[in-house]
Amino acid sequence: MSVSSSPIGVRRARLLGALATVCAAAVLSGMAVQGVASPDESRVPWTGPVPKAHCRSGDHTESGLQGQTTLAERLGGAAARGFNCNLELVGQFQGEGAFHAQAWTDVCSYYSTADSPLQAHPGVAVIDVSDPSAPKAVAYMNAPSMLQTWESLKVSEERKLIAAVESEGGAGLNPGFAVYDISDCRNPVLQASIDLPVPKNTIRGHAGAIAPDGRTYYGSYYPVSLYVIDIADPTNPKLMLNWIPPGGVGAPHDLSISDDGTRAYIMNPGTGASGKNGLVILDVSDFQYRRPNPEPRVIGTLFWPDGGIAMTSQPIKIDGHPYLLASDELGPTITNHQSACAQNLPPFGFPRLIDLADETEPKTVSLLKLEVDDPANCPQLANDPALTGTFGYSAHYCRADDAQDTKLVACSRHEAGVRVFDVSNPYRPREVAYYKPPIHTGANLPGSGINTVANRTFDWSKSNSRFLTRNGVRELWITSADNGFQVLRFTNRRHGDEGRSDDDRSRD
Amino acid sequence: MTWRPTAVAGAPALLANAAVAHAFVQPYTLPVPFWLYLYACAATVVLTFAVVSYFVSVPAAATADWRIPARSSGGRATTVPGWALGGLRTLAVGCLLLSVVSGLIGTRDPDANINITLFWVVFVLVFTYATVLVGDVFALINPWRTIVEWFETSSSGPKRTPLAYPARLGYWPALLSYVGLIWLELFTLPPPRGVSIVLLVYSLVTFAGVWLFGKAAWFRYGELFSVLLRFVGLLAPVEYQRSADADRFEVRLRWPLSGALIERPEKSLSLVLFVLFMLSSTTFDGMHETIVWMSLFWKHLVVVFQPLWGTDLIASQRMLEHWYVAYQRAGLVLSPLLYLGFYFAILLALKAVTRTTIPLRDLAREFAFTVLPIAVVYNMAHYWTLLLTRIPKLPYLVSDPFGYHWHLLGLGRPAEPPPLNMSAIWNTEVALILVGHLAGVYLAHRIALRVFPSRRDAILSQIPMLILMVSYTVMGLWVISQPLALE
Repeated sequence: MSVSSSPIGVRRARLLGALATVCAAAVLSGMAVQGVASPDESRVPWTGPVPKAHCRSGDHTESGLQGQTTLAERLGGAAARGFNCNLELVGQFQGEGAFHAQAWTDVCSYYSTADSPLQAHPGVAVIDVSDPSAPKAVAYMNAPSMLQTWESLKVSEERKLIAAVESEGGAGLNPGFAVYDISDCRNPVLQASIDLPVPKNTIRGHAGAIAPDGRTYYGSYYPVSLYVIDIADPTNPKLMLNWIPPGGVGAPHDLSISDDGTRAYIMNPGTGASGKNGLVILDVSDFQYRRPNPEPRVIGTLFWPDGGIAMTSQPIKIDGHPYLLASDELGPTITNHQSACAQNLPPFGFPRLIDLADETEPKTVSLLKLEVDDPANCPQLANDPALTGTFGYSAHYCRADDAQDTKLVACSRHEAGVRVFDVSNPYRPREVAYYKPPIHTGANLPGSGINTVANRTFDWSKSNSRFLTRNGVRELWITSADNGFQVLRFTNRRHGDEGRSDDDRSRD
Repeated sequence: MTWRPTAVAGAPALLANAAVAHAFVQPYTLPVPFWLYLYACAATVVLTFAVVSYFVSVPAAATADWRIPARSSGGRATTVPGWALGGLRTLAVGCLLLSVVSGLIGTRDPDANINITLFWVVFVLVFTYATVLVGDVFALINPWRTIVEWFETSSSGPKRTPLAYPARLGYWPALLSYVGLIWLELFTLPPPRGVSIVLLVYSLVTFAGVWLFGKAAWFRYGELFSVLLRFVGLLAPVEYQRSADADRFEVRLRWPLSGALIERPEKSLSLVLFVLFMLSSTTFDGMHETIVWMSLFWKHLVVVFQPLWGTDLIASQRMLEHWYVAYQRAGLVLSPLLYLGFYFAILLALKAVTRTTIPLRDLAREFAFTVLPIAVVYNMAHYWTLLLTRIPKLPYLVSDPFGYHWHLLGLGRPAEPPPLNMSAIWNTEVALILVGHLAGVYLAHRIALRVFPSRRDAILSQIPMLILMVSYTVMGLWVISQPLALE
């Protein structure tokens, strides 16, 4: 007689079944608590430092906080070798040094230089990267507005145009604008180099963006006005409007334009305490569609108190969902990093991901912080020169590997080098790689953007970074002030493993 | 050559300037190379020495009447009106109270709380510089003294003090407070609340000192700001004298710098060290974050002490960072001793060339005040950019002292400051340094005429002093150039 066939056995079997169900539920709930997050929990915004990258053995890694270069590293020789984690240098063109901006198309990189009278080759360097191990300068764009582009050097891939506004010292001396045709990427052809028809000091360029269709350029007079230039005919640019935002809401630093050209994602700079540092989304469809009497309209804002001098943006999609990749150039107390620490605020500016599903109410979903951004770590930064430096470890540009299907983003972070994050789960970002270029010693490079810094024990990484996959290898193109143009390679060569260490893969 | 500030030199670092930081400052190209500035300034100091030596003679020094006759008042001194004195004293006490209260109840943001700017910038810097022009007004309106005197008035007069001020204490209490102040500025960076607590503790120490030794002694030797501003006031063309009834002050004009000649420094090494610390602390402030200073530890000293930590610098860095902290602190504390050593070496050379029998300590005391103009101008040059960026914000802080978003003066939000004019800043700093050193040369020569019996000896004695002045000039120019970058 089986137990289950008797009445007592049936009751026992039911009891055991119930116990098994309870146990299974307990185990499952325990799993959820231990890391298998429920759907709701997985959508809690990530606000702490992201998990550190697992670096390959043999990499020359940081020994202090994530992002930090310690005093011993700076002055004991380690920083002179640079630092790397899952990225390695493939090729370099140091040239005369680099300034803030990098743009690209096909096999060419374009990077700005400092506009020093000592430069042999002033203007934007055109780099042929057909051979990643031997990039070389093949031309220089030296229209007046290309001599110091600040953050305005942008490309329209669709129309093969590159353009910039005149930006000496971050506030152009003249309302200059230049646009080149880069259909043959190695041989840019000047289409126009003009001064916009406005009185002196009405427009002083700093940054800008070109609409993806290449018909409109948006210049930024930081933090005063947004000026829109019609480049439908690139040989005859026309100023459409110089818009001074009412109440300063929409005052631009850098900006980006949506794929359809109807939205401008303005980074509105301020201190954290100002309540005006963050994102302003503008409807710019009047300009895109060339409507009469065009005017931008504010359709959404998101200001945050934990950053300062909002810097850059890029609209991206992760699993088809729209986000904005944004960064702050400084912390909430601007350059007063020590003041931030004193107030338990992040000392440096960092990137963040913003959900754009409802563009009238954008929401932050994760902060791409490093340990150096956490005020709890301020005591470990007490003797760090970055804490008294201008930008320290703050972010500058961020760029996604693929704006339509983003998995990785690379952010330049001044003294912290270039940091690569896996954002495939936007609520659980993690760092997967970094590269800190070595300190340059010896005479200053005249085109370098860091020559204005005395007592330096670092290089400045400020540029946009380009992800490019060739021959099964994923490259990362970066520039830094003293090291110029550099081609890096993710050391895990299998496609899809970028930035993942052997340890990561073995855990899989 | 292109120069640009990369950080605002000055105290406190909590007030570093945003406008500068975002690198919107236009680069400044020096019209001539930096080394030419050094040579030109050094040559000017030497030339001044020659001119002063030729024109300023022993008889002139002996018969000098430093006071300028006040023709309008028939040569008599003018009494400071009682209402003005009362008003200024009340204002000073009010500022002290505001500094304390705003730090305790106001915002933690040092940019938005008035107490950081009021204490560090307005009082410690601006008031000190103003003292060079208007004299030691602080002696009249010292808020701690005012509070003590209000207390005495309400409790029927001063009490007998338990102790007489020991002569051997000299200026050591004030010097200790001075080192503490600079220590706070460079290493501790107290936020607004911290500044309030420091002021409260300092007030208690001051009242304790007054209770123990009496207000006359303590405010002459022990209270930092009384001592500091009295010394600075010696350079001013205005002097104040307390009248016999002790509650009236007479004001009269005198020649600039003459106070440093009239007042003979007391025989105290602490006085010499105090004056030297006025200079060395600013030099250390300019030096302690430079590659030169940091490398001295991380590239050289750590090698010397390698047996104590091993061979792997990175593995030992946590321990070495503790040593580095000690190295930084020691640098500040020992800086006046380094200057004292150099000063003594110069004076030994002076003794050798003049064959004088005057003891070294007496010579050190006699010439101590020659450092005053150098220390003051060097301080001004060091903090010049901080003043330019913070002073325009003061009205907004008065309008909203606690950072509560008040608009007491209806000023609205502060405007974005214009970019700093680097040409004007650099030239101002160089001019300040030069003027201070010329004043130092002049003072040294006049003191030499007083100390030495013959003009020949006086001039001979000034050759080593000239080396001291030229060294200070070159050092000062080099250090103020350190926050700037060379392209």
